[in-house]
Amino acid sequence: MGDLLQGTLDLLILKTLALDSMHGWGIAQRIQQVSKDALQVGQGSLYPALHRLELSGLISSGWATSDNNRRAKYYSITAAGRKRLKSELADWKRTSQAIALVLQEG
Amino acid sequence: MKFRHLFSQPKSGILSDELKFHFEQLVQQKIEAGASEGEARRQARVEFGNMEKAIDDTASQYPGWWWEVLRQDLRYGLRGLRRNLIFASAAVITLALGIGATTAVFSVIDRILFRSLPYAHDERLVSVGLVAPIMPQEFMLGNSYYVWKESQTPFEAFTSWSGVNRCDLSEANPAHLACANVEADFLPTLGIGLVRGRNFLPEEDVPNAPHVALISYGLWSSRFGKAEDVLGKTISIDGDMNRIIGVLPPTFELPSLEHADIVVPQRVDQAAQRRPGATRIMNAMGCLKPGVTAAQAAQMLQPQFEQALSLAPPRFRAEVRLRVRSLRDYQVHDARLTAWVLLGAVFAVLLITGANVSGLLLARAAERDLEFAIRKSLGASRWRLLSQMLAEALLLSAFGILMGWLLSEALLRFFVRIAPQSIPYIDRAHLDGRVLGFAIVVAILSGLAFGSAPFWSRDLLGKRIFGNRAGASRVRARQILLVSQLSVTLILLTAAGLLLRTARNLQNQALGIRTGQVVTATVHLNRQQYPHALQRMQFVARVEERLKQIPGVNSVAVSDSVPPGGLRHDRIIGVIAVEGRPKPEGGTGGNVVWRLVTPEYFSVLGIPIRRGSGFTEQQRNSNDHVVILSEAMAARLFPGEDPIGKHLNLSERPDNNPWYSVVGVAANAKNSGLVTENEPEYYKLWRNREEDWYSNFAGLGGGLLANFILNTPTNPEVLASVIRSEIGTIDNAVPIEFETMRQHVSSLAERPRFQAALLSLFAALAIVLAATGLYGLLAFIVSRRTQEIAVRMALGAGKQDIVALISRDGARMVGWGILLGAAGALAISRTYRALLFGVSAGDWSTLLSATFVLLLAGALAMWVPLRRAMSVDPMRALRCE
Repeated sequence: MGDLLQGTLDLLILKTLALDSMHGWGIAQRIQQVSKDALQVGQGSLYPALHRLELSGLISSGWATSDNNRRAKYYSITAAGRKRLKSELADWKRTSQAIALVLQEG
Repeated sequence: MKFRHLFSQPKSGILSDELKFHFEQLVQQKIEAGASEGEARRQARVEFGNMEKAIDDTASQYPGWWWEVLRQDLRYGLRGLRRNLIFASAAVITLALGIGATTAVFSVIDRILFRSLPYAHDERLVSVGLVAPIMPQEFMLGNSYYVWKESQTPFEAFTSWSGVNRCDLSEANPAHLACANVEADFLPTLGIGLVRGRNFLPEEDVPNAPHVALISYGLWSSRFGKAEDVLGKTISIDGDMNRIIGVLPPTFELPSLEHADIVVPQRVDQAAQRRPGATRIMNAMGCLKPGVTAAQAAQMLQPQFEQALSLAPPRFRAEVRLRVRSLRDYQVHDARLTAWVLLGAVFAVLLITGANVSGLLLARAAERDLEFAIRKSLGASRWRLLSQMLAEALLLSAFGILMGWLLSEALLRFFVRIAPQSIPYIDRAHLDGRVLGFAIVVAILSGLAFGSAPFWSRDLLGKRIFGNRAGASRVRARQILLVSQLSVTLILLTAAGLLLRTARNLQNQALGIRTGQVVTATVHLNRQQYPHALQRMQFVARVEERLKQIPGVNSVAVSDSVPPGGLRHDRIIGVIAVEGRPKPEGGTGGNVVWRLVTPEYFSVLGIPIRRGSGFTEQQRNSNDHVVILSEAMAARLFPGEDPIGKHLNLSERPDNNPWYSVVGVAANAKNSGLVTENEPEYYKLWRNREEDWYSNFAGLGGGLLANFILNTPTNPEVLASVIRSEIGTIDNAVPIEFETMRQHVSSLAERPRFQAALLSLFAALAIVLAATGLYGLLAFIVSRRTQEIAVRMALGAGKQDIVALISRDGARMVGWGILLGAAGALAISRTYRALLFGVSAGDWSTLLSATFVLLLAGALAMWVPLRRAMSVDPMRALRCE
């Protein structure tokens, strides 16, 4: 999924984790479902992004047992992550509105 | 530290667990969608993509990731090197030897050729003076020096000094020191500043001025504890009170590199020197005006030179030349050639080292082509592969540098230990940081360049799995490297051979004197304790008497100097008059050596009297003036005549000097060191008369030197302590120096031995390196051609055919190496002809022996690969394919 901008993927991950803690596979599936298969997140960009977010303290992780009884690494959003999500969302809205205005003008 | 947890357990472990979970979920999804397990896995693998890349990409999010990669690469490289221990140790040893030897030797040479002198006007300082065959070191006479000083044009400043003499600190703690005598403007002209105090004033540099002195930094520390109030204190030098007016810097050195503890004004009487006939000998130095070269200065001094010649005695004029040369040339004169030869050897060894390491790395690269091709096709990124290759090369360089550094420290210590004193600055040589740095940079760069060779041949990567094509060009490159290595080795071997023969010739030449069972004891009677000639004569007579009583001492002679080298008297033959002949005209006639000796001199040193007789004890106590000539001197003065009974006047002014009768002719004995041609010589009898016991050499501060020469089978060390106590009973304050004749002769051959030792070291190094290189290349070729050999064997080739096949390669390289090397050796040995003695630069037997040694090493190097080639098992080798 090379088409998504890096910042956008971060935003999608934070938004997804804001609902519930989830492992990498779950996050990818969830983004795909919600976007009605329009956005497919490959492991090649997902895991670098997850580790980057964890490193900057926006999400945290821990090992737990998954639904089908396998050990999986679960990610959850931190307080800093929620704050970042809020400001990023506001930014996103402003930017997309602005882009929409420019596009409608034409 | 955020990334700590990453290292607490293997990074790839955690990550691959996480990714594996992802992968399994993907498979699960495919199965749920109706695929069979096998098909699901296949699809998942395609969809999932490159796991290794994902792990790397994810890990690269962490700070310090590069460090972990580096660690991993280094670990991997270390493992690879451990698996290829022979390759690794060959490369490390080669690097270490190359870096170590070149750094150590260059550190020595750098001091001689390139270091900056401790004078502010370093590059503009020149030594100026006249040279003649009998005075090879430039000098000036007082009568012309002051005229030059006033009328010269090429120099900003022109100054002089009059050498170093022994002087005694006559105080509570008496000490023997060295005093340098300089003109008042000597220090400012050279650009030497003082750490305390001031320089001499012009009015302090005249006769009868109050005595002032500058002391060396060493003396200031040891004797005055660096006290600030040292200025104005007085020290008693040779009985005169000198006021200390300054302290010299720790870096102070005289242009002649002689040691000096105290510098005093030379206090020359200028008025007296300006009168004709004044003959004080001075050393002149000038500081060139900016932009003037030494050659131009010599040109500009022509008028002054003409004037000086007109003052010289007529017989000198034809032979005297003017010389202006840089201070550096003045200091290192004959060490210069040695230094350049060694520098050449350093570069040769560096070349061989480089070639060897390159060859080794190219061989390793060829081996790893396959490994890298496979790993690349399995998805490893090119940059990861490159970084792994470089990590391995850097590991090699690092080990090589470390060992090379240790080796260079050890070698340098060894050099300093074996080096003769006559090599300037050697005692101050230390490991040069810049040189070591340079060698390290070369090591790293060559490691990087050749270590990454497989990377640059990427277009061949695919083909490498199937073909051997890439190897061919590398083998060719290695062959060229090896041929150059072999030829340089031959050049070094030849040079080492020539210098070894030189050292041997020097020591084994017929000296004409006995060296076994001869010991000399030298005493210096100074002016303070022995002011009167009679006291000196009595002291020497008493010592001689006591030494004769020592059991085991066969005979004792006394002389004022000892052959074949060292201090001696010289005179030009032109001044010697023969009774009944007109005084010789024109030319100096060359140099003649002379000594004062007692009758026993000839028997102790085993110099036979060829005609007439030796001196007798009666003559010693008489007022007779008798002389013995060497055969060369007799042939020179009396060709075809019998010299016995002839009368000679041995000095400039026939009217004041007695006529000496020739009583005998002695065989020639080596008298000008080991290298220089022998000179004619005459011996005067050292009589028990006051007139024979005045100061006998310049630079003794009015003292007298006497050598006791003993012929005895007694162990020299035992003898030394016996002599010391015997002399001690007469006067225990007199300094005594002991030397066996063997030591004396051996010390004269020190320098050639040092050169031979260094060059032999290099040659040995070169041959080991070249042989390793040859071995490595042949082994590589054999392993590459194993299948070809197997096929040939299977088709009926005998062992000798295989030997011929493989050795042809090696023999061709050795052949070319010898051909080029011999040509190079013959061409290059000419340049260091001046270092050779008793062997010519183009000596065939030396070249042949060097070639033989190279052939032997080549054969040894080929032996193991050949055996391996012969032991190829055709069945097994072919089954591998």
